[in-house]
Amino acid sequence: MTISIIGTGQSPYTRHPQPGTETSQVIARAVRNALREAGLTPGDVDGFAVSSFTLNPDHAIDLAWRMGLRLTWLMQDTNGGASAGGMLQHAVRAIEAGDAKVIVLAAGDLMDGPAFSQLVASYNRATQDHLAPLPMNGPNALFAMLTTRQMEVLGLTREDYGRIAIAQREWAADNPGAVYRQGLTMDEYLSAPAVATPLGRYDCVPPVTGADAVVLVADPGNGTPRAKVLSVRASYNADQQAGDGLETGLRACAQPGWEEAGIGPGDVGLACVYDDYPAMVVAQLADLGVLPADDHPADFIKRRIATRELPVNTSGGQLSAGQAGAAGGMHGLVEAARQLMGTAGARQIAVRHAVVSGYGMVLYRYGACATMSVLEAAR
Amino acid sequence: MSAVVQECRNCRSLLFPARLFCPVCGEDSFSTVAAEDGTVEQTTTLSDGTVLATLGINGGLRLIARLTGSAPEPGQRVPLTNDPVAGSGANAYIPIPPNLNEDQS
Ligand SMILES: [Zn+2]
Repeated sequence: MTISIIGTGQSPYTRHPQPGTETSQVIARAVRNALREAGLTPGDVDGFAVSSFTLNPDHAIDLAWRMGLRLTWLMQDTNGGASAGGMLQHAVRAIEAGDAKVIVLAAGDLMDGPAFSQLVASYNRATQDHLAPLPMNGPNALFAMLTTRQMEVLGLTREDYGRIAIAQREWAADNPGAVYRQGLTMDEYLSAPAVATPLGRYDCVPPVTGADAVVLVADPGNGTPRAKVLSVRASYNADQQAGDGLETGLRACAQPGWEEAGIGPGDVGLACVYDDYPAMVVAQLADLGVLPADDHPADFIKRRIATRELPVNTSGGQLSAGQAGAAGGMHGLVEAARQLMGTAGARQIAVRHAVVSGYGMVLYRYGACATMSVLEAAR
Repeated sequence: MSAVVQECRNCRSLLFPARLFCPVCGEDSFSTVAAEDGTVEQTTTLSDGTVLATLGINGGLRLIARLTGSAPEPGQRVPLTNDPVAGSGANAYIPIPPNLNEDQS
């Protein structure tokens, strides 16, 4: 049995949500759009999963009730940037096991100034006790130091990271859903205000309000364009936060993930990797094997990413489209599915295979969760 | 000046933040020990001038700290403290909750 994505939906990303906007409304809008694209109604859905940081006091069941869903499978995921892969892993197994036939996965957040401050101050106990009082407001400083380590180990410069940000901004120009679409020059990138050295403004994602959703079914077999799920792998707490953070849990996902998919990292025509910072794009491409171990990362960025020879984060990624809280985890999955289903509009590429990664949940020094999904275009 | 970290009573691994089971040996019996100083590995300067650092301490443990006094360069050793106002000399502040402080006194 193969499981496929047959519909994607978003609630438009915005830096400034209308007063009175609720997380549940934003998520529901993405769900409705995904169901419409799949040609389904809420009555067809029997499985639902959601990830959100700002749904309190509601939970998945409250959302299901308010959307009128009658379900035989329900889950809530709390792993932020890795939540899409986690929900996808469970959903694929649930459909295979017969627990549900039509599953909607959704993620979204209302991420205005106060919500963002609240989220980063009380992210987990370690943050509350040992980071927020430094003071540290959010993970920028941690990834600044991780970036410094990566620059030393891989011989990368700020210009190399700039090429990633600039390439993604060029993709964003053709994504009406991205919050930043105007071209970015190397000069602008390098001279942007420092956030946490060596990171400048364009190394950091703009928090936005928004949501993403996909609809999953088993073999529709009716000629519907779909994104077939070839494999899903997850890794949690791979190194106990005792490493340098340059290697992610994807390192352990890669071999079984490619093996199950039946293709290799050189076969993908699109990589949607979790881009909370350009350094993490590099780390994840390397862990997946898409950036081969015997290639030089700086050359790879110049030769393959900047030229679009290998399309990476064709929506503009979170760096240009925005990070809608936990929806950031689903952003790459929706973009990859759209490219494979031929619904990516002006930025549509010719592609058969895509790899999607999720990364997130900083425990103390870097993210502890990673997910890898390999998808294939089918009808 | 020192900062408290967790030590596994069984295998003597140093841990921070505190764990429930030791990730090395799986035991769940811990004590706290005082770490005197750490080596600056990386620093980052925030837009308001705050300098944060990753410090390595003996045993391979890494801590996130705020540096005060003249900001030391990577490779330098700095004294650790759990006191946010430990004085103007060069030191590295490692926050811990107040109740943990009391347990140590
Ligand atoms: Zn132990």
